[in-house]
Amino acid sequence: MQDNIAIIGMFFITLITRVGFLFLTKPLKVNLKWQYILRLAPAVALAATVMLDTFFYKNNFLGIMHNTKLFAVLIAIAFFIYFKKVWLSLIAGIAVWCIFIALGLI
Amino acid sequence: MKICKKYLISGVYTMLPNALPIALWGTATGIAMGQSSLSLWQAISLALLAYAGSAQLVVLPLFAYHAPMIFIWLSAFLVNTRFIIFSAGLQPYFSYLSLPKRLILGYLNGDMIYLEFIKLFPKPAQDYEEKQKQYSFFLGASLINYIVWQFFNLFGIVFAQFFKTEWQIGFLGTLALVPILMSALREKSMIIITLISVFIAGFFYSLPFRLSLVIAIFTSMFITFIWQYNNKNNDKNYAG
Repeated sequence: MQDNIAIIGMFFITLITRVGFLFLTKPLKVNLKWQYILRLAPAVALAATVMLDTFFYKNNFLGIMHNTKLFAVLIAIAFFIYFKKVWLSLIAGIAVWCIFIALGLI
Repeated sequence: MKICKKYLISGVYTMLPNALPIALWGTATGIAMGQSSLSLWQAISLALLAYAGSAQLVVLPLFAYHAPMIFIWLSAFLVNTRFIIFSAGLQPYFSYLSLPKRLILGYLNGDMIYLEFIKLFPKPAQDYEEKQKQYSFFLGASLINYIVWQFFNLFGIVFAQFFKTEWQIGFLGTLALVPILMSALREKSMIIITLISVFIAGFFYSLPFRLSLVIAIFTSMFITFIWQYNNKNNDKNYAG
């Protein structure tokens, strides 16, 4: 019973946090500095997610030299910089990771 | 505000390249939920109601330990803090809408939807046509995100027993984020601030509830404020 109430409560937590400032009806005055920050914030959130998943696993630092995840990420970045194509970078990163799995290196 | 079909579809198409990371993440989250202490129906209910990848994952061990409800909600709130910041970015675009519509748009917002939306529409609309365009686009993008996420989330829950945790399917989702992140970092200043923020956040990796992610965002805010960007010429950089 307690779990079920907690699950329903999770809906309201999502609603409150995601709606956030949208509860306000008067348009917020956002200056250029804040506009920049609000454009930067999701990129920083994604970058932090990639960093955490690449360098840490179950709260352990995976290192740099023998980090297969870092290698796959770097390949994806290199493909993006060189070819400027999202899908090519995506396939390259995933392919490297799948090869590592197939070779039993993970 | 009427929905413009053309821009609704445009929103869907824009989000399509992001469908793969969303699908992989959704599946990985679903697998974790399917293998948790929750019953099948509880897992499905949580997926449908919470619609929050990281928050769903963070609360799973708390359910297993029968932690107090308030602790579960507080944890989910902390993980979702970044969405409050994103909502401030969306508010000037949609403040004119009715409360039910704002609730729906806010609830459906996600990291990648917000990123794509801000990239395509750097400024809130002034006239009706432009407002209709932005509203329809956001709705299309967020709906396709919701459908893809929920489909794969439920797929992961139902077929959780067929997946091994050591495959680390979640990391495939992370890899799929790399090109999206790269295309978002278009300005030199953005790249520098992101790198510094992420480096600093790395020191706080062991904090619970992915708080290092929030630290990264606040660090980037702090750096932007202290950056010497106060003269008019440099203000153009902010406008993108």
